[in-house]
Amino acid sequence: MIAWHADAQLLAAYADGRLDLARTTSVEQHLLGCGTCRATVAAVADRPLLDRVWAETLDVLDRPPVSAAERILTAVGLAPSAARLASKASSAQRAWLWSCALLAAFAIAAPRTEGWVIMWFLVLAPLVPVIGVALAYGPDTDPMHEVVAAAPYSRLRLILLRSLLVIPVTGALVLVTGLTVPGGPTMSALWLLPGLALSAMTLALEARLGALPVAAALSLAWIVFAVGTRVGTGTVMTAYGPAVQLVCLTTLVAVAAFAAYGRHQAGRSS
Amino acid sequence: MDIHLTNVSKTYGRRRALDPVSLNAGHGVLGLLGPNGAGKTTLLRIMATVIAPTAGQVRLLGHDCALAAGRAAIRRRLGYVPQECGFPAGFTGFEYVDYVAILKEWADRRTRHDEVRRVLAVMGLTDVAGRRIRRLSGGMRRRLVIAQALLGDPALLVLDEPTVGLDPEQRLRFRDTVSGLAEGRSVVVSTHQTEDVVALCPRVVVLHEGGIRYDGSPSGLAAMADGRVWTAADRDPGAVLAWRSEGGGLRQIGVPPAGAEPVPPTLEDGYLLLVGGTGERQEVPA
Amino acid sequence: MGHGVDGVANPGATGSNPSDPTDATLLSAVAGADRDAFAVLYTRHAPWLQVRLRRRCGDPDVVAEALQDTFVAVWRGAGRWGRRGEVPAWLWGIAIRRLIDLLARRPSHDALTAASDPVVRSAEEQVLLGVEYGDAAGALNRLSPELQAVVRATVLDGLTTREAARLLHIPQGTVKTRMARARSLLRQALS
Repeated sequence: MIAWHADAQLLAAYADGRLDLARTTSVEQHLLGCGTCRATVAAVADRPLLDRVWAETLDVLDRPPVSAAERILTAVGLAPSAARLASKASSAQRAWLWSCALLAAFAIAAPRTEGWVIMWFLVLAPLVPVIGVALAYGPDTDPMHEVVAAAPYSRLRLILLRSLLVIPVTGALVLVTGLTVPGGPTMSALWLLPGLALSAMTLALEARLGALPVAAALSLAWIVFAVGTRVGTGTVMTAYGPAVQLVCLTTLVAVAAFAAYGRHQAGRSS
Repeated sequence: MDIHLTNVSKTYGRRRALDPVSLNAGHGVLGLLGPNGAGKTTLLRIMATVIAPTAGQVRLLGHDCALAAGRAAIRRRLGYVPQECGFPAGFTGFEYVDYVAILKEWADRRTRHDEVRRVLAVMGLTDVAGRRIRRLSGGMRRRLVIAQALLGDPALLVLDEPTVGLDPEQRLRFRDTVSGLAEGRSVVVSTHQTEDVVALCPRVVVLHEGGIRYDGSPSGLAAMADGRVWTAADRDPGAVLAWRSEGGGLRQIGVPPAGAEPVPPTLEDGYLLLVGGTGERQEVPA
Repeated sequence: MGHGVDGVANPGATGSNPSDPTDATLLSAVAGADRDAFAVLYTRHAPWLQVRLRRRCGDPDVVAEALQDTFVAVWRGAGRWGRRGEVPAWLWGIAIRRLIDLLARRPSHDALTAASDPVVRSAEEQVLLGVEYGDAAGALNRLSPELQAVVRATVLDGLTTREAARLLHIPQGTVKTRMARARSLLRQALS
């Protein structure tokens, strides 16, 4: 027996919904088993819709999964593409995250009576944002640095985005010190300003000297200073005295002004 | 003319990586040949605006590299394949190219993904784009880096040893791709595979110890070894280099002894003669 | 199609030529992340799926979304086909269930019921239908639209009572009652 194929008119009627249930049933059952008729009915299918769905399907298949961090950042108003740049932590940054977690755990677990533990914690805490910022950019920590350097995206913007994760981590550390270190919340606020000042200086100088060397030098200088004041005056709190806070604040303001001026100049010459 | 380098030099502390070199190039493929340490990578990094020269002027695509605005404008129309390229941990091929596309200022996700798909298809990576990079072969990773350089249809392509790690078939396909791209574009390719140069480059520049030793056509470079290449059973004291060639005997370049019959020189012969004994001999031609 | 899908397979690669890859082959390839095979599968099956979905739901956006969800599911789950039954039936099973999920989320929807206008049939069609269904065809067509919808959902689309209830936005009990009614009416008509 010759295989039966539905003619184009019947299929067009089917596609339009002009067939009764019995014949619709018949056609649909037939289509399940006949490739030729499926090809014929394709002629009366909705072409633009099919093209659109294909493009959307490909898009869904290729779409990289959006991480929780990206969702949070987009929710607070960052553009999705910027959120993507900010949320992909390099392995160096991940290592930094783990060390911060360790530092926090250490602060929580260490007995309160051990003064030297607290002292070292206070000495090291301002360095946390410095290192976090230093790891955001540069040939030492970014495996695809050269490709990044050859791209038009604003370098400063990229560093700031990649350093965004420094903020919650520093904040968490502030919380931890507030809860565990004797002296409470005021203590935790005290080391914040030096930390910010050091980070700002890192940002300002990294373009010329490289992030890691600058961060290393500043970290060393800070440790020497803090330990020096401890040795000299008997308590590390001198390193957080009002004079120091003022210097840090001035540094921050100076760096910000300088950066703004630099951008203004760059804007003028383009 | 898309590329203008005038007296460009680069010094790292005491070490001079690049003598003052001047180079002008327009559309088409320019091959950069030279042994390791000759300064090829330094020169290409300068052309890709990744590093600044110690002295000299660099003008690319009509913009001055000394100005930040000029660099930004160049980078928007530039594709760069570095010699060593690392990848962020845990990325898939698609994510990597997508990340670079964001850096190339493709903010809108839909158009960006369309473009990523396009360059992946050009490099034949569509099927493996969803795989983690650490599970890709070296050749596929290389093609991935080349794919990101093609984003946005750049007017200037700077490729530093792009065929390292590619097998012969992939190298052939790469040459096809690049020849196709050279239309209406400037492409600079550095390599130490002389076959790539012969197949691809109407113009070749030989770099040696920081300076340009030759700038011209491949046939001209071969011609430099005219009458200076011969084969013999034993190595002659006048030979600068000798190696076993097909059909037995030693192929030698240098000052031929009396009575030796010179053979037609290849581009490789000219290159090796030019860089002296320090030239790298890759493999005996199959 | 905008991305060159039309030209990917030759126009005759409908699967009806012995030399064309079978749907089963394509599915295995898709399970192995073969984009080209996926494109051929789409070219072959998306059109009829779209037409059949259109007969269940009047909203083209819902149909588009169902179709897209279907093929994304096919891409991700091609390995799960397991050679049970035919590929087109498997595809339809996915598609109709996706459609049901989408419709269930919408408070009101424009689900099409079977058209009931009698259309003049060609002599050929009458003969063929008579061969297939005999008098049942007429009996089927004489059922009320609600009964027809239930018959279509459970018999033609192969849905369970629960799924049919979701598609038609009626309680499961009603589906069962209507099916029983339809069955008894058809039995009466045929005896």
